[in-house]
Amino acid sequence: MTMHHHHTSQKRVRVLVAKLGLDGHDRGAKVVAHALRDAGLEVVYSGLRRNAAEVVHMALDEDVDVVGLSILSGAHLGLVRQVFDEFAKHGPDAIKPVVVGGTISAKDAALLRNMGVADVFPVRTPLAQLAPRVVEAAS
Amino acid sequence: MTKSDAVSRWRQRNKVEAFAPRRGLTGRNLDILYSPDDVDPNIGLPGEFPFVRGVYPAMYRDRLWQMRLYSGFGDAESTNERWRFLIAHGNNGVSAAFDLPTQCGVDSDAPTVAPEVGRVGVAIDCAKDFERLFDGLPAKELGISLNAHSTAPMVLALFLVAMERRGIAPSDISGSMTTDVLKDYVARGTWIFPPRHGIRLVGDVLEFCNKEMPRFYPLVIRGPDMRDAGASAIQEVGFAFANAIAYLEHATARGLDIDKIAPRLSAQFYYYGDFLQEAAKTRAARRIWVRLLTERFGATKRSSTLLRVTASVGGTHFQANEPQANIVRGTLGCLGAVLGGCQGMLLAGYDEAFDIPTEETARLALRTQQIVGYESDATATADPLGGSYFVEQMTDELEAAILTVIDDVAAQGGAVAAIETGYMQREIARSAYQQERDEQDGMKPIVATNIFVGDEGAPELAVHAPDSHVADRQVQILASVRVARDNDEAERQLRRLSDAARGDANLIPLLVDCARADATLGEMVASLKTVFGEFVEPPL
Repeated sequence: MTMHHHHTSQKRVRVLVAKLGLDGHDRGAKVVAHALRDAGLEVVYSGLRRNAAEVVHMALDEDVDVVGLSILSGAHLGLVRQVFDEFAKHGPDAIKPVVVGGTISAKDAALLRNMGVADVFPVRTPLAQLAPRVVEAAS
Repeated sequence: MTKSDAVSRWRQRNKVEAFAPRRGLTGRNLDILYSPDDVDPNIGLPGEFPFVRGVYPAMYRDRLWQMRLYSGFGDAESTNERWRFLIAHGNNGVSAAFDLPTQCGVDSDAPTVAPEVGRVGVAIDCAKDFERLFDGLPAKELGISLNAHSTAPMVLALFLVAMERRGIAPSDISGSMTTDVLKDYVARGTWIFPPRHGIRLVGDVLEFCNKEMPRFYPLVIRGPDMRDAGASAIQEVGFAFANAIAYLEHATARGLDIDKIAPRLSAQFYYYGDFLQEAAKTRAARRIWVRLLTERFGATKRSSTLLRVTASVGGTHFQANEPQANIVRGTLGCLGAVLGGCQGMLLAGYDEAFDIPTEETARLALRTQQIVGYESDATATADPLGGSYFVEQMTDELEAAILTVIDDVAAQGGAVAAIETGYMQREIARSAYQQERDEQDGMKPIVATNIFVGDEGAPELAVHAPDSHVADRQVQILASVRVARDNDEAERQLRRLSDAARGDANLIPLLVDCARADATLGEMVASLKTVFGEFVEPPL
């Protein structure tokens, strides 16, 4: 195994791609999951209709490096806040980097970043940018 | 000299192989020229076997397709108001969209669903909501389509009780209900019970409507939701038909007569701008259907074997950039649907990519259909594309490709098994990924989005803040219904329902009894969940 001198072993970045709420449109989440896998990342997909507590549980159980939330319903500000609150319940060190994709305006993207979101991917973000930016968010 | 010699020489002379390839709906390269050598059409005549040329002899000279607009938002009153407007403008049917809680089987007062109440459709919790929705509308005269899937049996029960309270019998009602539950597992994600129980409920709806609702179409085999999720046109029809096979096998296994249920079935497909190939798709679908029904299911009545198609145009392929250009996209889709010989059409407003259609955009969508119907000669003659070398060849190729998809599902053990293992879901996800790459690298050109991008850009996405008034009002009305009803009676009916679910009885009459006792949709679903359990998604 090749070793990078900063790391004890070269670990593939693990990412949880998660859907929140009743919205069943998972095309975007699945396309992102495919693109990340193609780029060599390990992807865990949450399945539909998850709430914030379930997503945080999965993130901790699966020991992922990044949590990617796919939200098309327009309710991203509230839902992302819930996810951060759930992480906080697991202690100050439980938090994982969070990225958000979906129908998100530039204004809301800025608000999300202020809340602590590491990166935002509006609809039609070039696929080639996803993996490098997720890896960047993980570090 | 034969014709094919002339064509070969023409190809050499014009070096046609040198031109850039162009992928068709089957994934194969489209030829630059199709000629008589390519086709040996087995198309018959309009209104006759194998119905490639249309299901009626005179087609649109007899009557145009039913023009419908999918609408429903907020509460019953605002949807009712929109329907009155559309009816006043010549719309001859109404099509109800339901909000996500209604589609997923939870009541508007359930914890955490408030932001979704009335958001993507109208909220229905109990029979009273249907009474409000149809208040003052001529329910007997309208074609009423209920876009309910996983919760179709409960929605039907609530609707019938609301009509009963107005003195309208089930036999007086014309219209349709989607009911196609299998595609909810494949594409829409609004599943509830495991698919084996979902199928049983579809069988219950078919059996009940066959006896009680002779003017109603109780099952629409749906492709558009799968296309929305990224399925190709081939997968759209192939998976929809694989699902249809599962329903028909279930129905005939429980003793229903194929010639009684099949005449009330219809299909719905989506229409992109490739309107010649999309028209060929419809023609191919009809030829597959007639053989499926006669050869596999032994149908003998003509009306059992002809496939009625409702077209769905717009939404998925509409773009947020320069949205008025979607009017043209809608026109092309509409034209493809008409040239393919559809019986009904739902055309989206041009603003659907970023907003809920307004009265103005809804009217434009209706006007688009009316202009194609009344001002163009697409409706002048039956099957105007019949005999086109290109369209006939595409009809044959699409038919072969769709049959392969149906066989692939059969090899997985049929639609239910293919859903339980996630086969269909994964195939569609793979196709969606391919489409996204094709659109991003320009292989699939989209004007003003990936080519000729202007500086106008997209209008600010109108994400409607959840209207808390809608949820509040809905919850209030629901609370008053819960107070006014005889709770013991509601509970007794819900217990009868879950008891019956353990056996083989048809559950629709029991659901109607629940609705009469003002039990809610969420209560009915919860009662059935205790017996059926819930679907668990297979891994991606």
